[in-house]
Order: sequence, then C-alpha cells, then structure tokens
Amino acid sequence: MAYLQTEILGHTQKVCRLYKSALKHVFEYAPNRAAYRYAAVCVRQKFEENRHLTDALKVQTLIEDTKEELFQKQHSHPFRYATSPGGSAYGRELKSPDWVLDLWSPDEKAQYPEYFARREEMKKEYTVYWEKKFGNKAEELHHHH
Amino acid sequence: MTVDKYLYQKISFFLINFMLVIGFTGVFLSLSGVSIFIEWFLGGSSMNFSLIFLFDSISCFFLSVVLCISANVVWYSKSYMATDPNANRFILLVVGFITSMAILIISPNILSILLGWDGLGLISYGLVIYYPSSKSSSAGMITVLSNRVGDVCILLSIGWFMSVGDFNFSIWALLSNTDFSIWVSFLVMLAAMTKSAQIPFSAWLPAAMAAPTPVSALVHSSTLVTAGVYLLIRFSFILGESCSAFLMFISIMTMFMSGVVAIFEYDFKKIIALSTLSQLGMMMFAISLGLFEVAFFHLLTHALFKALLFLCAGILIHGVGNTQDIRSFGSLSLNFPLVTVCMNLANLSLCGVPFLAGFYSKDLIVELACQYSWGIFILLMMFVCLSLTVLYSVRLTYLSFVSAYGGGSLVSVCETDYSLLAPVVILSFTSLMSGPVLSWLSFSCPTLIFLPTFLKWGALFFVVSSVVIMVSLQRLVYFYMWGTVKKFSGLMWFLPWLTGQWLTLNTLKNADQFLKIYDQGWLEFYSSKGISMGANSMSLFSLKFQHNSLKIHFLVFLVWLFMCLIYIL
Repeated sequence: MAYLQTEILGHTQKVCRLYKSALKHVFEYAPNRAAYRYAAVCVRQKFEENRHLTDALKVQTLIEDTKEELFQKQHSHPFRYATSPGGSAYGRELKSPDWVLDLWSPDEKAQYPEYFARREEMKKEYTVYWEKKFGNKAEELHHHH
Repeated sequence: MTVDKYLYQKISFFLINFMLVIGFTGVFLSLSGVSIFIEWFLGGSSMNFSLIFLFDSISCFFLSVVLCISANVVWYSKSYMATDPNANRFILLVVGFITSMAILIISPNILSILLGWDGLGLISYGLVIYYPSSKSSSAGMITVLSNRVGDVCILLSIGWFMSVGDFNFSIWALLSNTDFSIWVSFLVMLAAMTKSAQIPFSAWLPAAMAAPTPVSALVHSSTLVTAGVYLLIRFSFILGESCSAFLMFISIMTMFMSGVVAIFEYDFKKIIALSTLSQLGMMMFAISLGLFEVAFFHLLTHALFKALLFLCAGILIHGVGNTQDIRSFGSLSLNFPLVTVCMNLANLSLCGVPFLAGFYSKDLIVELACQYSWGIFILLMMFVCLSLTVLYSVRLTYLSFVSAYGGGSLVSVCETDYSLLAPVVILSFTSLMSGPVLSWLSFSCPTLIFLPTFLKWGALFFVVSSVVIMVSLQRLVYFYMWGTVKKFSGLMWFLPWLTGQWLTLNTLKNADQFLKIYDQGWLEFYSSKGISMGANSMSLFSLKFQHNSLKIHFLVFLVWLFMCLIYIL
C-alpha cells in the first residue's frame, strides 16, 4: 500500500467497497442505462461466483487484483455528483465562520442590536457551560503559580 | 436578492432598444457605404487628447449582435441567478463586461481597443471566479493569465505603432502598400490567439466553464472569444504571408484538437466550449485565407447560435439538478420539448445543415477554401474537422435527448419558467433569420464559386456520413473502445498540463535557482552586502588609527576636505 491506513476494515466492508467501485466503474463506461444494468448484473455474477471461497490468501489476492484492474482501467472522466467533492457545483456556497461576526464594526452591529445582544448572552452562557463541564484551566494554572 | 425587483428587466429592455438603434444604423451605414467618426477633442497647442468612436457597418452589426445576446442573457439571468445571494455582483460584472465589449467594438485605434481588451480580460476573470470554489479560482487564474499574455502583446504592438506614426487601423487600411515588420504582425496575431483560445492557449476556455451558464453564454461563446477574431479582422492589413501561413496551421490544429477532444468529453458545457473552440479555429482559418468579410459573417452567426446553445444547456442543467455530466442526461426531449427544438436548431446550424444560419457562413468558408486550393492536406483537414463538428454535435444531441434517462429524481425535470424560455425562443428566431439577413446585408453581390461536383457536395456528404457514423457508434456497447485515445483526449492532449503546471513548475524551479544563487547569493556578495562590508572594514581600519578619538576623526576629515579643495582649485 502506498497510503497510510487510517481505518481497520473488515472483510465484508472490503468486498462491499470493491463491489460499489466496480458498479461506479461500469456506470462511467456504460453508454446508456440498459447497458449499465447488463454490466451491473455481470459484475454481481462475478462476485457471486467467488462467494464460496474460504481461503483467505486467495480472497485477498482476488480483491487486490480487482482493485488493480479497476485502477488500470479507470475512466478518464470519473462520474461525480454535482454537489460532491470534484463535482461541477461543489463549493458554490460560501459559509463564513461564526467568529467573523465579532469582527464587524460597531456601526454595522448597531443595525442588528437584538441579534448581537442575544449573541453576547449566548457566548456567556456557553462559557459557563464549558467551565462547568471541563473546569477553568486558566484559573488552575494561575493558582499553581 | 437584488436592489431593484425589475433591475434585470430594465437592463434587458435598455439593451434591446440600444440594439435596435445600432442595428438600424448599421443597416443604413452598410447600404450607404458611410462610416461615422465621433471625436471628442481636448487640448490646444502642444498637448492634444482625442477620444474617437467609429461607427461603420462592421462595428454596428457586431455591436447589435452583442447587445441582442446580452439582452437575452440578462433576462435569462433574472431567473437563473434568482436564488444566488450575490446576484448584485453578478449583474454589475455583466454590465461592466458589456461596456468593455462596446468600447472594444467602436474603437478605431489600438490604444482604445486596449481599454476594452483589458476590461474584458479583467471582468471575465471576475465572472469566472464568481463561485467561491477551488475549481473556479483555478479556472479564473488560467483565464486571466492566458489573457494577460495577449495584453502584453497588444502593449508591445502599441509601442510599435507609435514608431510608425498612427494608431488608427482605418487609416492604415486605406493604404495599398503597407509594409509592416513581421514582429508587429506576430504580436497582433499572438494577442488574437490568446483571446480566441488557439493552440497553445486553448486550455482556459474549457476550464472557464466553471462560471455560471449565463456567463458562458455571453462571455465564452460570443463576445470575449471573438474579440481576437475581431482584432485580426480590423488589423487585416498587418497580416503578411508568413503570419497567414502560421495562422492557418494553428487554426487547423485547433479545429482538429478541439473536435477530437469534444467527442470524448463528458461535461455538457465543456463539449459546447470545445465546439466554440472549433468554430473559432474555423474563423481564424478563414482569416488566414484572406476571407475577412466571410470570417466576420461567421463570427456573427456563430455568436447567435452558440449563445442559444448555452442558454438551452443552462435550462437542462438546472432541470437535472445542476449536474453537467452528460451521463445524467437522456430522454430529455420528453420533458423539455421546446428546449429540444431550440437546441437542435442550434446544433443543426452548427453542423452547417442547408439553409440554417451556419450553412450560409460555414459552407461559404468551405467552398471558398476549396476554390483557393491551398493544398490537399489543408482541404482534407478542413473536411475532417467538419466531420468532427457533426460527430460531437450528434453525440451531444443523442445522449441528451434520445438515449435513456440516467439521472436521479424527475421532480424538477420540466420547463415551466418563462423567464428562461422566452430568451431561448427569441434567440432561436434571431439565429434562424441571421443567416439569410446578414448574408444579404454583408454581401451586396453573390459570390461566384466554381467547383467540381464532388467538392461542391463534399461538405454535405461529410455531414450526412458523420451523422450516420455517430448514431451507429452510439448503439455499440463496447466499454473499453478507444481506450488510449479516450484517455489522451480526455486530458485535452495534455495541453492544460503543458501550458499550466509543467510550464509554471519549470519556470518556478529556474526562478528559485536564480533567486538563491544570484539574487540572494553572488549579487548580494558583490553589490549590496559587499559594498557595505567593504565600507565597514575601511571605516574600522581608519578607526584604528584614530584611537577612537573624536578630535582625531574631525582632524582627518578637515585634512581630507583641504586636499579636495586643493585638487579642485
């Protein structure tokens, strides 16, 4: 493996992920829905043929070989849903982080007095909740000194 | 949310009225053979500033087409961008773009053309990076940097024009024997190539499809990309034989490359962008043959049906859930009957089907090219590129409207929004009428073309055979067909990588070497640091003799001053 393994996958997970990759692969290549359905059935049949295998080495080799085959035959234009990463409509909404509101100037904040008043109250409530749950580390460090 | 509820309608109405005025003015100027110069003059004896606008048939026709497309696109944007929170920024950029384009069109000299040219480049960057995604920002960067190369070429050519005496192309066009240096011809041609996305500057046009669809319809199909062609048409006197030959080679390569890549592309808007690239190559090809009026005619007709194509694409993309992958389309003719009709009209025009707009302009270029006979290779490549145009157009139509539906939910897959449909219908009628009307206006007498029968029927034969081939190929189900060609074309012949990462990476590596070794190395050692270290060591040396005494220091200074005075006197 050329990448860092960050999760431990069970055998079922590995096979299911491989199956989904294979289906995506045939969808990318299929010229129409009927061709995709036929190819998907063929892929399922191939998986069913090897369902009975119990030899772990054979199974792992089969999985690795299939992964390699999918990699070698990958499509030049992988299919991505529009709002998924890599899709055409991904990242069109810009969500500003909450702390940006603290950088507003006083005259801008004065346009929404109730909202910012409630925001200050909520900040204090959150600080009280945090200190109740986790303690006040700053005070503890101060006392130590 | 826009400031004014009817802002888009007001802008569109103003543009339509302006278009009608300019259009009728253009017809009058064309029939009377008159050009109007409007000049504002400032200054007196030694310093003179003047701002001149040129209204002749070419500028009026082009401006009226641009305004027609702009009016329809603004009207279309009212609904298309309705849910976008930054619609104010969008409409401001679009209006700025239209203004820049108008300045470019009515400018009679290269200085004021530069104003419009730079404005187009800058505003198109703002429009491409409209969405805050990383794809848009990369696309915007490649767009603006490619256009910047053209800006530099125009600036250099301005310097050249300054040396020969006049910036106005209308004055130079009147002279019969203009002998320009090959360098200025090359510079102007290079500027046109960057704007019109010819090889090797083709990477930015498909990438710029990250912009919203109304932007693609206005900017990347009919206005910005045709600015380069317009520049060459205006500066037709500047192209010598060698530049024309080079341009012919580049245009043929661009047509071929874009045609092949479009056949293996899966992004709906990128296919149309590559189609635009192919037609720009056709216009440049016509210019290289010396057919400037025909190239201008094709520019106008192409602008109309390509803008129509993009608007139809926008409705389809909106309908299937903002996805642009053609594998999610299919059988859309059932849900979008009107859009199907309009899009097929545009596609058939593009293919050059008889008596539609594209037939009048494109077929004329093909027949005149056959008549001028530049060689069998050029003719063959031209017909191959014609076939490629038909192949990808038929593929687009087949996968969108004929094949089985490959998308998800069918909830929004319908055409009900009249704000989107009305501009499409208007542009369809305009595109339909533009072919015959513009040919009557542009060419007062019909062009006599004498060709052998097989060459005369050649274009039609290639169109029909390409339709048959592509429809047959679509029915074939072989997954890994054309595997290597597909991968090679899918990456656009590695052109984006070659002109993007590879070029900048190598340049940056070399620049890094220069910085470390020369700028922060030897140059520092010998010039700045060296001089300061030398002065420092000399002053330390003199301090040793002075024993850190201020009196001796001032005495030495007085002695030095005395010696200088003796030397001077």
